[in-house]
Amino acid sequence: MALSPEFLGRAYRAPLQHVVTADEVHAFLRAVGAPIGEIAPPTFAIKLALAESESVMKSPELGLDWNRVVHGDQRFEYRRAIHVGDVLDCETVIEAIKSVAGNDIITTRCDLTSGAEVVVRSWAVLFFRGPEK
Amino acid sequence: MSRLSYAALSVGSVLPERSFEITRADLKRYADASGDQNPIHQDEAFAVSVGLPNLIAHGMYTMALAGKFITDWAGDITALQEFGVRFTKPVIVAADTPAVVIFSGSVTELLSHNSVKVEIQAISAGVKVLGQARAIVSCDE
Repeated sequence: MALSPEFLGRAYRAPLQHVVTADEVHAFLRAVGAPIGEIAPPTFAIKLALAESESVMKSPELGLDWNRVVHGDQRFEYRRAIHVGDVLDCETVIEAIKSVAGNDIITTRCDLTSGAEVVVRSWAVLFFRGPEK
Repeated sequence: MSRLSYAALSVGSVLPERSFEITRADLKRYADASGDQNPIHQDEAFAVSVGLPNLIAHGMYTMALAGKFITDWAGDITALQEFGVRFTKPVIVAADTPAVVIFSGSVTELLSHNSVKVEIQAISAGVKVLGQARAIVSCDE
């Protein structure tokens, strides 16, 4: 079933702030083979953005099947890098909904903010494959 | 960290080619670091059962390596202003031999405020795995 266009523009704020820990930044740096430091690498924001997107997409009102998702595009805009100790709020907005041949194609925007400052804004295009014919 | 000099760059300046190896142990480490535990990146039998040729790397892991490729060239992990990719084909990771992703790229535009636009290519097993892979990079004067 195609996702209703009524969800277009809907915004979801993560209930909890995320405190960026040294452990998670170091683990991410290690995973990409970068030297250990207190500044997160450019794609670290996905750890927060994708987790939040997953919880929104799986929420009962959208009811999308996260097991059928394929990540199509990903884009980031950085105002500054994420650091250990940052306290971030995360808001996810559904920016586009398309239905093509039984697949839902959804663009989500995720704003990671610290107080009034947007730190990283990112967009993901997610394909939810329709049921097998 | 010292950044690349803007004055030394022009349209067509090359990001020297580099290759990165990806093993299944790397994917496990990335899954734990990113929280993306989708079994298509860790369980070969599961990946095959959903129609994939073999276990595949997280698209975001390939993007993370692309980010490292660009920021190493730029000389600063914080040099990116914008960074985007399209995931065109998966990187296939066999059990016994590492997958290899070869990155290359060039400067496509000189922008104001000592920034440049770059476009990169990512090839694995002869296949283009990222499309429209572009970044805006801050440089020193």
